[in-house]
Amino acid sequence: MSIDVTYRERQPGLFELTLAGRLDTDTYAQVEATLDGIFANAVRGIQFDMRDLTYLSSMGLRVLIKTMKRLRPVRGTVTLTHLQPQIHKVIEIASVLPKENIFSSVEEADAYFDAMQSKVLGQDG
Amino acid sequence: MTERLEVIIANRLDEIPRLAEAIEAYCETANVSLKAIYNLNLALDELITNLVSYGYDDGGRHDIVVRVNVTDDRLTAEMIDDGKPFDPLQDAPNPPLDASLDERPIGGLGLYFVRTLMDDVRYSREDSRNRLVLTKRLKD
Repeated sequence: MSIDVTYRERQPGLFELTLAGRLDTDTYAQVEATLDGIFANAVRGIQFDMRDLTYLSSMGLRVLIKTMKRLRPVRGTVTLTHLQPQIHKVIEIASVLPKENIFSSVEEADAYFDAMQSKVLGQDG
Repeated sequence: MTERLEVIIANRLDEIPRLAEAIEAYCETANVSLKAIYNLNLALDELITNLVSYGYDDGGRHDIVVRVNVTDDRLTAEMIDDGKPFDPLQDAPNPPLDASLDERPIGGLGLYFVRTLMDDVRYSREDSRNRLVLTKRLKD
């Protein structure tokens, strides 16, 4: 029982993190270490691909909350895609993420990221 | 009906997956839905993580006993430990779910999950041990 974490920068500043396995007490540090590496870049958004995430505990949720807090200063966006039903339920119970940040497809998540970034840029300009 | 399952684990976080696997195997034999198994394993994970992190002062090895039983209409788990007295129903406040992200504490969600995912949680302190009985209904 472990987790596989991979990531890639899908567009400038938008990183997709794919989680496969369990995100829990045993594995959250590994995901946080990966995120630390990502945050060495100029990050505007983190997209968690959860299609192969089979288990999420409160320790795992801390990773999501921490990521949102880290992106707050740059008004960045956290999105989740392809949640399995049991994962969706846990996130719903915890009220961690607004429904607007959860998507069934990458395209929808990308569109949301783009819209949020235009808003940020609009405000800056 | 299937025999009861008993698993004894040490007070270490890396024992949780072993317990989860044993419960999964046992419950699958008893035809319990994957959703109910998931909920029970998550509740036990949260309780044991909390117990191992905060429940002992001596740094020593302790046994945690978990017994699981399936009947026609319910899945029941009993957890017994010799940690400090701790009632997850009384001693842990609900997290502020409507608080803004910045005010949101990083901890506090685990025991809330236990209370939310189980249909019934009962605590007692017996012979210097904590005893918790968790029940999940299998039929509505």
